[in-house]
Amino acid sequence: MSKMTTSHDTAIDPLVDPATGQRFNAALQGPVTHEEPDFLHKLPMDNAVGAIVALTAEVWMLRERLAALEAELESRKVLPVGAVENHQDLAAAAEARAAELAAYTERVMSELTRNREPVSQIDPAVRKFL
Amino acid sequence: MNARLDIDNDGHEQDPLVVHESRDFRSYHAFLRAARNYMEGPLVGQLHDRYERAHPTPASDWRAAQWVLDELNEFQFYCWAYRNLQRFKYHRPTLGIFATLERDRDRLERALDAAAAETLKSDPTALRLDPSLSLPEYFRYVPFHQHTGGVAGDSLAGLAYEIGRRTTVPAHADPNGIYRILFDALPQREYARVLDWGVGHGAALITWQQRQPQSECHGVDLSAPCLKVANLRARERGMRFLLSQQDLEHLDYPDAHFDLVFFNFMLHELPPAHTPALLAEAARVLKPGGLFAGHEFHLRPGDAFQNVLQRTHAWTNNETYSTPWYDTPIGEWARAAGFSKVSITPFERLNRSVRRPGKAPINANHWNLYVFEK
Repeated sequence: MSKMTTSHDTAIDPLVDPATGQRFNAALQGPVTHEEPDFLHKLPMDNAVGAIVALTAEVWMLRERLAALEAELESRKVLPVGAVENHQDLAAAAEARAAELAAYTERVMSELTRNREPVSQIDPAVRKFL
Repeated sequence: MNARLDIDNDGHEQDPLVVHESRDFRSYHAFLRAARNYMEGPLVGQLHDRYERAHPTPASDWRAAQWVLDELNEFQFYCWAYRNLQRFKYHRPTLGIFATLERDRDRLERALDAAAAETLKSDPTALRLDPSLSLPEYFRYVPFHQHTGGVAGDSLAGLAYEIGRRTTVPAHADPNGIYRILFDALPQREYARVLDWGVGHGAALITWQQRQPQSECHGVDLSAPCLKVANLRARERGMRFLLSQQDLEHLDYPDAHFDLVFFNFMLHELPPAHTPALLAEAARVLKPGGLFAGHEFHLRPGDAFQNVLQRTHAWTNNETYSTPWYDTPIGEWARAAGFSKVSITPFERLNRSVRRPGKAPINANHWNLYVFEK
């Protein structure tokens, strides 16, 4: 989807109250026109790490359940022992999986390197309607 | 599942056009819906608890409440989530709505164009597109809901809007429920000719026609991509709509043409500088005794906590004209526009309360029902 063309009006700082000049942490005071606000700049690092550890626990639960499933399938001879561990993709499947891995990696990593330009830019000329 | 589009000259029902949604897409968006429900439920509850502790005497003024809330991690995270979950929905690589549509662009564009071409050929009054229409500035300036390029900026924007609405309202499992609730609330009588004022992807008008098959159903919108979706969805159901791309402020319908003009949360997308003219034009096309009616979110009187949350949505979700909307004397302007009876009442069926054991529910949103009679 193509972005809108915006006029050359000056940027609006959405975290500053235009009436008083006071700056807020997260309560936006105007439209986001040029740069994404940083809502979480005061988020304690402990909380962020807590979320990462909680997510790690969730991933472990998935891994454990998957391992149990593999073991059950092997013990019931639905799969040969080591079938998952020794599975080799055919060339086309390997290619598709590599592409999946690349896309997956991009989805996660691109959040870290994300450009702060809004994905949907409001034209600062909008101020005449506010 | 790959859908096919069989154009049926006799107007019989056809297989629906389906956007291919992978298992990953479905589970990804299920997670986003759950995250949004968390944000609007438990997080709001926790935020309110912290707010009460920080401000034991309820603030009478939303500005005072805003300073208290702005210091709370819960509020900062709420603002982050409101803005960024929407971004995750539309914009993420591979799994976002735009990426999903892009992969299937050719097929989807062909289907929309084929349905439009068939309607234009067989029944030209049923779809009137105007490539020369100049979109109003206020509409061009703001990509509402963080929909990049706006709902008119891309040939697939209507389909993106149609998919996106599933997580726009709380009742995402039943996205047409909000229309049924509105129609239930209107005076129950026969409406021979109705206009969906901002018809979008057509889901509300379809819901109307299912309930009132005798109505002649019109839909007007600025967005050609949305009208093409509405046309397609009507054809799939064997319905005949009269869809038209026009500026709501300058309609080409005759005077006293409609029995009902309805809308779904449209008023907050309109800047006050245009609202009186829009109301006057809606009144002009209504028959005497006809209704202009719809629902809209608003500030809950006397509830500073709710007012701050509601005001933040204006900016976090590109609902840019919401803030001036809250200060708009809409009833007064409706009377000036020619409506003889003006009713604005809280629409409790749409209000979503956060319930907490042993405590009063928190009302984080507030809806009104607007019924203006000419």
